Amino acid sequence: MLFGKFRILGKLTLLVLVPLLGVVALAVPIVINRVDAARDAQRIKDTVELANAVGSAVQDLQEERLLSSGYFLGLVQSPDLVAQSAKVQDKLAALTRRDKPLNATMKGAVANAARLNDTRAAVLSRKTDPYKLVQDFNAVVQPLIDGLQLRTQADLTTSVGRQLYALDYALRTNDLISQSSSYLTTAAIANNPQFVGLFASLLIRLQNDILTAQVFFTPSQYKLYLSAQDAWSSRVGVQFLTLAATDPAKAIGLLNRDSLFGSLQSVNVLGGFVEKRVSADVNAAVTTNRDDALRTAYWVGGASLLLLLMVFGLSIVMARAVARPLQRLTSSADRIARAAETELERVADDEAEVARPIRLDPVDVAARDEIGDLARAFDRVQTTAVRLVERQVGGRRNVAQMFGHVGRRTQNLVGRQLALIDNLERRETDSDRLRELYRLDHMSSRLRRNASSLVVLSGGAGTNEHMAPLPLSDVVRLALGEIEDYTRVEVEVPEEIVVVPALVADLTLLLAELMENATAFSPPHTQVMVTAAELRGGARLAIVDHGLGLAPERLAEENARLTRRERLDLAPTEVLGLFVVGRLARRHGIEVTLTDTPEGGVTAWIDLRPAHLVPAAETLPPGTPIQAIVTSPTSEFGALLAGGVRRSAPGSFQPFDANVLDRATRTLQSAQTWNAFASPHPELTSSATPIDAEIVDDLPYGRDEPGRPYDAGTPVAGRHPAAMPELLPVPIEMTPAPVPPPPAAPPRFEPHQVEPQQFEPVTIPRQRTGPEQPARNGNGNGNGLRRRVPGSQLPQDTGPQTPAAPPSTDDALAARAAFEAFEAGVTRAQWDVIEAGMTAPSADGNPPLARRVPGASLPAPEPQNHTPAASPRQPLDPDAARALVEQFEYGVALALNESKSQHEGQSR
Amino acid sequence: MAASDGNGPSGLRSALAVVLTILILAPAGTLFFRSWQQNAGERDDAQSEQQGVEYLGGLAPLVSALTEAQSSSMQGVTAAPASLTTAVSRMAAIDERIGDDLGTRERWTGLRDRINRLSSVTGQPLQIYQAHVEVTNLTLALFKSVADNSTLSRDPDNDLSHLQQAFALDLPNTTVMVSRMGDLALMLQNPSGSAQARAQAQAALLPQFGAAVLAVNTNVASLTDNLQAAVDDTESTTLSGSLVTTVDAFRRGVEAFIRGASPGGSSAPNAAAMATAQSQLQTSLSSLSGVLVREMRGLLDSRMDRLDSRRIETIVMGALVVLLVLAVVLLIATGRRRGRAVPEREPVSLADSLPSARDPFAAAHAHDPAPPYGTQAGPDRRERSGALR
Repeated sequence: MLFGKFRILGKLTLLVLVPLLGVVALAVPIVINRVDAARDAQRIKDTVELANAVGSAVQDLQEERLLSSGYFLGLVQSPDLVAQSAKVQDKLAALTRRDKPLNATMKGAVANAARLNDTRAAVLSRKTDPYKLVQDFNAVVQPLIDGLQLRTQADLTTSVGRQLYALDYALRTNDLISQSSSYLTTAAIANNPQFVGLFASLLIRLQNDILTAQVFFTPSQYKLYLSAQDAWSSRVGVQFLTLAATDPAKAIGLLNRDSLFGSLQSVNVLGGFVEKRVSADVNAAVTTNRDDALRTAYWVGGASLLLLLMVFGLSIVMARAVARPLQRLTSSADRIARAAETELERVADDEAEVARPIRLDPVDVAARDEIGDLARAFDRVQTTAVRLVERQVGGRRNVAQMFGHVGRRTQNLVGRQLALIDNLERRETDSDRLRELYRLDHMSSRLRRNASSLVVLSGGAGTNEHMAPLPLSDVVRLALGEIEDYTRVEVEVPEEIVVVPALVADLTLLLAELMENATAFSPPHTQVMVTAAELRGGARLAIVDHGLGLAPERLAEENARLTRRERLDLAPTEVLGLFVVGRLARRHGIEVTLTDTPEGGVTAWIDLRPAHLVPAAETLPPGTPIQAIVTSPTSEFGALLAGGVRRSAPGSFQPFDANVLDRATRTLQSAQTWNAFASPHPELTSSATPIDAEIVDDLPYGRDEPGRPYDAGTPVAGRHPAAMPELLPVPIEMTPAPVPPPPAAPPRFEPHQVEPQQFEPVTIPRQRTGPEQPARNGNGNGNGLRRRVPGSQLPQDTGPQTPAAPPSTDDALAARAAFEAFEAGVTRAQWDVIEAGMTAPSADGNPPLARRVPGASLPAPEPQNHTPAASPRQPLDPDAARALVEQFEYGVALALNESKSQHEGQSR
Repeated sequence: MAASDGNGPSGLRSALAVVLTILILAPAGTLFFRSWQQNAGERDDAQSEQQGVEYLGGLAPLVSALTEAQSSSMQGVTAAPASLTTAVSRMAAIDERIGDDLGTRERWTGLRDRINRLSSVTGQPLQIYQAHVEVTNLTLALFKSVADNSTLSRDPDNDLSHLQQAFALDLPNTTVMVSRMGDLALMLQNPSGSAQARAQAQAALLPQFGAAVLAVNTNVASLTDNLQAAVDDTESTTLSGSLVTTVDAFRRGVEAFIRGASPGGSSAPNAAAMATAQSQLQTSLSSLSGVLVREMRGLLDSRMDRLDSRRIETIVMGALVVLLVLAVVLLIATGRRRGRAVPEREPVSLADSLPSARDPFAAAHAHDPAPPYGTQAGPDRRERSGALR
């Protein structure tokens, strides 16, 4: 568009420009015309004024002529004549001094008047004749009248022009009268008829002129004109005038010689009056005309100028009135758009739980016109957008909350389910069903992990059930318990690294997700390595898989996703695990990085900060060696784990925690047994005993003290769980049993170097456990392990253990300790039975074996075991006792669970 | 006007305003009063000139009546002519009105006494003549004093100056001299008393007669010149036109009178012709004086109009100056006041305008520690507000 490039001001200017130009185009000619008219009028006025002056001068000249004639005839004395001459010269000189310069003709005429000086001198010396005298004066007077150029200037179509013509006539007739007066005087005084003839000829011209001049005069002027002629003729006498042409000689006689000259003198004045009257009329008319013209010019010019200015000013004002609000609207909108962008970004991408409300400024244009409407509409749009965003945010939050609720509910349900399963497991004696139960247990654990992931996805903080620090290795194991292919994971984590309780749950989940990924995205035959090492006060975990790996771009993208905040609804769903990892990592400030494994696959690095760990110094309390006893007997890591957790459980007041770890351990064990189901059965039983023997050595050592200081310290007397040293020993105990790993940890910067070192120690215990596992299977797992440990030396243990319980004064602790002692007693009792069965396998079969791990030794002896084994040894039926104990245990757990679940809002 | 933002500048500003006001008002007031005074003076002059013209307009018929009375008393008619009494009574009325202003009261009173006593003067024609000459001389003096007192004689305008000269000096002088010339001619022609007395009288009267004739010619020439000069440069468009016939008639009357008096001595003075000329002269005189009075009055009226309009102009200009100064002072005052109270518009945030009932998170962020958007105090407060100024 042609006008597109103009701004509003330009457009308005263009709009008003055309009519303005039209106005100017119309006004200018009018003004010019009027100014011309005024100039013409002024010119005429000047001319008339000049004519007035010239008329006066001419009148004086005429008077001088008459006086000269009179002087010549002796009627006038020389002083009068000289005075008149001086007057004339003065008047003529005044003509040249006028404001307006004279034109050339007029100048010539005035200069020509100097010739009269000769005539004057001649007159004074009477050396001239009257006729020549009159002619000389005529020669001066005529050019003066002609020099006015009244006839050539006069526009006869106008009244003014005609009056100019009349003025010219008046001047000429006056001169004729004056001339004739001179002739007449000469004729009368000198009695010269010739002059009468001259007079008569002039008279005819005069009468002719008077008649022709009538059309040019206005009636009143003509009347005056006539009266002036009349005055003259009355002086001369009508009779004379009639006779003059016919009989000059006789006519002269009619003249009164005495008074004639004086009369003629007085007549001269009258003609001047007539001239003045005409010029005054012309002047007035011309002045009026000029003023009219000027007024018109001023009005038209002024009006158009005013119009111009007004339109111009109005257009500017209008343009501003339009452009200003628009500019304000634009700038306001611009600013608000920026503000809105940042605000919306903030609201939309913020992970913060408490989203501040969106605040946007209203557009402030108070105009009532269309622009104001636009501004208000814009405002509404903005408000609507804000509401939309808020609704979206709200919707998202609701979905997240829904996730969270579902997740928590699932968590709780699964928790209860697990408790139930646990319960079932404890009571189950059928090994097949028990195995199924373990699998069910495992699946429930995974389900619970999924629920936890859901909670994390929802943005909610998962419930942290851990109140005591936990070794990293335990955390890893907990995580292992929650993934599917845990069998393929090899763990090599030093026990010294202890994680603060606040981190345990989330770290477990994080590790589980990473390990799940590692196992899921690597071929089934490959192993996944989990190693850990201390690093600058913190710790670094590596989860190494040997799968396909990720493309570099994908890797970078995922790494970015781990560090960068990202919204769930924008993240691709296939990487939900990583999303959870990222969210947890960001929440706790854990650094998670994905890199390529040199041999192919992906390595996930998890860097724990020092704040995440319990300082190493605290991990070495004096009581540590004591606890090693419990775990060391097995030296098999599942059993170790179980022992460690067992001990930690009371400290944290969370039997649940213990259960979890217990369960994890159990599932691991069951899986291993399950995996190695086909492995030779008899070997296991035989190998079990020597191992037990090893363990037995440690037992007395640890059994005395571990419970006491531990229990004494547990009371949560405001002490922070992290400050509890009792829990930490676990990893240390670990070190003696599986010999190699601890030293390997520190140098672990480079994954490659570390792996070979770690592989060795890890594999060794595995191989060692290989034979043990069947043994355990035979005995049953989980609890069985522990139960199995004391087996040989039970009698000694029970002694110190039972008295240990009563001394503690704390109700809960005492109760717990008592319970523990009781439980230990029960298990020991059971073990005694088993032991008895084992010693004489052929006779009774294996009651405990039958109960726990049916797969291995189920075939025949189960029914036999039942009754004889239990009844003879103990007066109390072991099964009934165990059922009672477990019932009680379950009740406690349930109670704890219930009390907890209420907090979690499970009932909702 | 910019708003002042402090006490110091505003004080300085008001002081400046006061000084400026004085600086503007003082010269403007001086100019105003000068112009006003000048205008008032000119108006006074014009008014007194108008009074003088009116007075002279009354005197002109008196002169004419006096000459008539002189002639008639010379003829032996003792009773004063009706024209005289009329003129005197008219004159008395005029003097009653404006005599005080013109300062002619005493002169007029004395003159009227003498006029009244004229009828009682009896005896020789010469004595009667002397008595009349005395009165007419006083009348002429009154003319002159009126012209002087009314400032007519000092009129700045060309036309009025010449007209008043013609009207106050030349016209009455001519009239009186023409009349005296006639009477002297008659006295010279018909001397009374003894031969010796006649000779003495003739010897005494003859120079007077010559002087009268000369005076008539001089005065007529002067009259004509003055009228011509007046017509040469006048604003009146009617003057020249009206003068054509009246001057002609007047001069014809004078000529006729001179012809009747026959100063050349070629023929005996013609008493009848002179009587005719006398009446003719009186008529032309009254018409000429009428024309002159009318013209002078017209000129003075237009001058008064001009002065009036100039006075209005002066008043308007003065008022404008005062108004402008007042406006400036007011503007300064109000500008200062406005500067003191700059209204601060409170910014409104969108959050405030949103109904909280519809806000699903209203409860959630009720504890939000962040202050409401618009109420955050601080130097950047205005920048953050959405209001545009």
